[in-house]
Amino acid sequence: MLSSLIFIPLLGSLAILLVPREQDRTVKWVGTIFGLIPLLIVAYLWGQYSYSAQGMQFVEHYDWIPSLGISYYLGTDGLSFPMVILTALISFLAILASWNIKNRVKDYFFLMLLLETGMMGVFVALDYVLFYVFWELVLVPMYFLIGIWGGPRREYAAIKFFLYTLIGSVIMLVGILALYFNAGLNTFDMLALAKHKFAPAFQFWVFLALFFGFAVKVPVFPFHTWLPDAHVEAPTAVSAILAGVLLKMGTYGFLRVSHPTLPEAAKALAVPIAILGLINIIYGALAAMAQKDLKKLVAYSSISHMGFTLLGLAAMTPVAIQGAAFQMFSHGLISAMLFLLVGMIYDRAHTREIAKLGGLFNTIPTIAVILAFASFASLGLPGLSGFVAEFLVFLGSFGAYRTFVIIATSGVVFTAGYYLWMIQRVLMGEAKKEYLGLPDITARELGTVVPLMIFTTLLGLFPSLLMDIMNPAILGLVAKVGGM
Amino acid sequence: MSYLPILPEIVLTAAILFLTLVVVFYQGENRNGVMMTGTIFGLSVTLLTLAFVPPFAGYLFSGMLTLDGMAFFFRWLFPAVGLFVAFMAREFLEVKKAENPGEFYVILLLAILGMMLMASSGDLITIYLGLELTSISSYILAGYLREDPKSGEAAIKYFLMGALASGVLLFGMSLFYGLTGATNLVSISGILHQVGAPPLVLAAMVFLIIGLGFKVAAVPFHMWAPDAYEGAPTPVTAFFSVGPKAAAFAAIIRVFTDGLSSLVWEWSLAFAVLALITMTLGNLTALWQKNVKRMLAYSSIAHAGYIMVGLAAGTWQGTVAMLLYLLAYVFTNLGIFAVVTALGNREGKDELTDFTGLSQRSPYLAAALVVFFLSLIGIPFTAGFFGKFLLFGAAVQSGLVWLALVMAVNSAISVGYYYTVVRNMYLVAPKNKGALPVAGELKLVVTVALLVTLILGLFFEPVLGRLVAFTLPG
Repeated sequence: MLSSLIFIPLLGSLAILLVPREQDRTVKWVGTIFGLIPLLIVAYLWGQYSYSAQGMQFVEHYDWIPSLGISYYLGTDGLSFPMVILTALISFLAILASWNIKNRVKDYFFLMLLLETGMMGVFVALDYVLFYVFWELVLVPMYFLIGIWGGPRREYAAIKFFLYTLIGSVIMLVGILALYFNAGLNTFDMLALAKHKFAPAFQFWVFLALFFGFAVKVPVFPFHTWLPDAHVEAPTAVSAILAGVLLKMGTYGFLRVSHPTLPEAAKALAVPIAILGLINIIYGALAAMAQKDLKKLVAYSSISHMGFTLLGLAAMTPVAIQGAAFQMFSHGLISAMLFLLVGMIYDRAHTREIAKLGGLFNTIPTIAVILAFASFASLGLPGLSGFVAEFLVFLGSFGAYRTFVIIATSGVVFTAGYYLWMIQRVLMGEAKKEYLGLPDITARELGTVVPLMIFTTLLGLFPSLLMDIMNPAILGLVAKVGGM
Repeated sequence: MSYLPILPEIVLTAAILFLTLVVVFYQGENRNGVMMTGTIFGLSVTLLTLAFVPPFAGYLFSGMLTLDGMAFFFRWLFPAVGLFVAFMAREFLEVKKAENPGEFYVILLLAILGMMLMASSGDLITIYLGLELTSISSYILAGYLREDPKSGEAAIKYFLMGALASGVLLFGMSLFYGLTGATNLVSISGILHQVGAPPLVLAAMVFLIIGLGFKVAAVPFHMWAPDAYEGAPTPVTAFFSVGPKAAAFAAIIRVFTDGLSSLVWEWSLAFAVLALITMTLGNLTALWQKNVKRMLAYSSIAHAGYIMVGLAAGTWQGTVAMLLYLLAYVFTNLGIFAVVTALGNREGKDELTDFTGLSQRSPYLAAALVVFFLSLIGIPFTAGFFGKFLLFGAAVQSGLVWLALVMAVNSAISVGYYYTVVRNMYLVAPKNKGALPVAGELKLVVTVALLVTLILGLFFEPVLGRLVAFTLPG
């Protein structure tokens, strides 16, 4: 079943290649249908998912390159299944949000589906080579999506994204090979290598190599500078995917690879990672506050929010890691929603400059209300999913890093600050003349954000919906890393 | 009886002789097409013979030839390269109005024969013989467009540098003969195992490294390559970047892993240093090029650097990685040059700016070129990925993590110049919007190269299994 999640989008992208170039509508329909099927499959898998089972589910295991111990090995557990749900959901909504693309429609939808293939593959692969293959596959469509359909500085943003991630990932590859040869098991099986005990000094260096690859994706300060460029220049739907799914590949890498495989190093480096997380939280929030561009504000808020995941990872208590994993999902929903809304505003007002906007509550009330909702979700309003995640991270990390948590809470205050200030400047106030008579949200646009709103609320009220999936895997991970 | 294993070479020689007669006596209109067909026929029969000759492993002609798995690999690879180049050449020779287009094919076949000889030689003499046959044919091919001063310049530079390199190489060989009294690689290896590594042996080894380093265009012996690549006719550049280069690597593997195996510590260190500077300088210089052939020349220098990482590893896994990387690189690069030829046949300047808007003028060629570049960078789902993967692996396994990291960073640097082309093709608005007419045989070459690149990127186990079986010691 997991294979179908990978190959149906791929099949869709090939189907799109067969559609004649002029028939934009057909292309859009084909893209949407092939984006919907994985979502339905995921819904079905959710029904079949066993909440009590330890270990991997829906496993598929075939030899690929036996002489090197490389296999086609897929499976999902509590760490990856939420990410699979997120990928299927965000990808579909992003495709739906892309119906207003006018330029080179065929190429665009081809790349979108290829991107989904890569992201799905990353989250279900259990073989290092397969994981790496999908990890790199994501780069290529993303480069073109930003480079062709992006904003004015798209070329710069696209190549910067490509280079940063490529350098990170090739160094990660060297780390993976070091694991392979040091273990001497002649296998790239992630789970088998996670069981192997590596020498502490070796763990330290390999951890750094892997950390580099993952940190660029998250992005961890100081490797974050590609993110504001890429997010701002990318077309709306692509920004939503970038923030919603792509960044999670980095933190997922920590959860799946570095922490379980190199627990000694993870423990030894916990404090530096916590500090980096803290920097992300505070720096991201302060930078967001200083932004003049609405989209850049949301981009920096992503950096800030991913910091909570890092802090939770560093604390390594069950509750903190639950918080981290919950934040990955929650931030995926909320940031995608924010980017979609910013895109809608830009489509109408043709500007994203906060100073030029204003009074949107009066001109495009529905969009404005949803944007307010998303902002509150993002700043951690109780009852919505963002609150649960941050609360868990704080609760779980308090024992280990009391000072850090106290400092991090100030980040929450800054977050509230920049969102409320943004709401005040963009949404409230007198309706500006030039924005009078702008059309409010369309049915299709509503369709792209309502599912996200529902999920955000549901998870805020009933966190156990997600927690029950994650818990067995997280307890297994914590048992391995051993807590602090 | 002992001639049966070299039947493919005999067939190829017969084809060369026959085609020479055709060039002289056939005066019809379509000489270019006839010669291309004849060449392709000759090479195909060579490949078929290779497939059907009963497998033979061992030494022939008192050790002059070594027919082992590696020889089989290269004897199969080189005629395939010849097929690609022949397909690329026809339209090019026609467009450039080359005199006597027929001779081109004969000289190409001679070069291929020399390359096959190099790959299967078991003796310094046969290596030199093959090398010179290849080199002299290559000089002529470089200067094939007699009217074009750039082509002449390419030939002269290539010839002077090549002659110097041959001299250095020959000097090194003569030192080995003086020291060991043998030219046979197996005998040399046996004697060296007894005498160890006296200074004179090391000096002789350095001469061999320099001589062969010239042939693979390793930095700092690469100065001839950019001019030769830029000036030579494009199909010939394609040939240079894969054929003689791969053959020189075959010779290196022969000499160093067969003959100088006792000095593995010394030469692997030398190749590690060469690999480091070759890939770094090649990639950095490529960033500043305006001409696509010159850029690809530096790119192929950088790739020679990557391949030498396999030598630096000094293990049989390193050799396997080299062979697989060569395989990936050869077909990828041939595909790239087929696109460059197709474009050059219409635009004629081979500037990077010629690529603007290619994604709209010929979506297929542009997309194929993207895949080829991804393969050269080493992105998964392409042949180049597994090539790099194995090289990384061989380096890490031999404790050369630093070299693997340098190679990793270099792969990222190389994005810079491939990117220029991709950017021109996809992100820059085209000046000339007309569809690009592409000759059928060029499309065929691109498609085959694309298929090989993608299929090797997904299912390389069968190839890898064979290569491992070929190169496993003992």
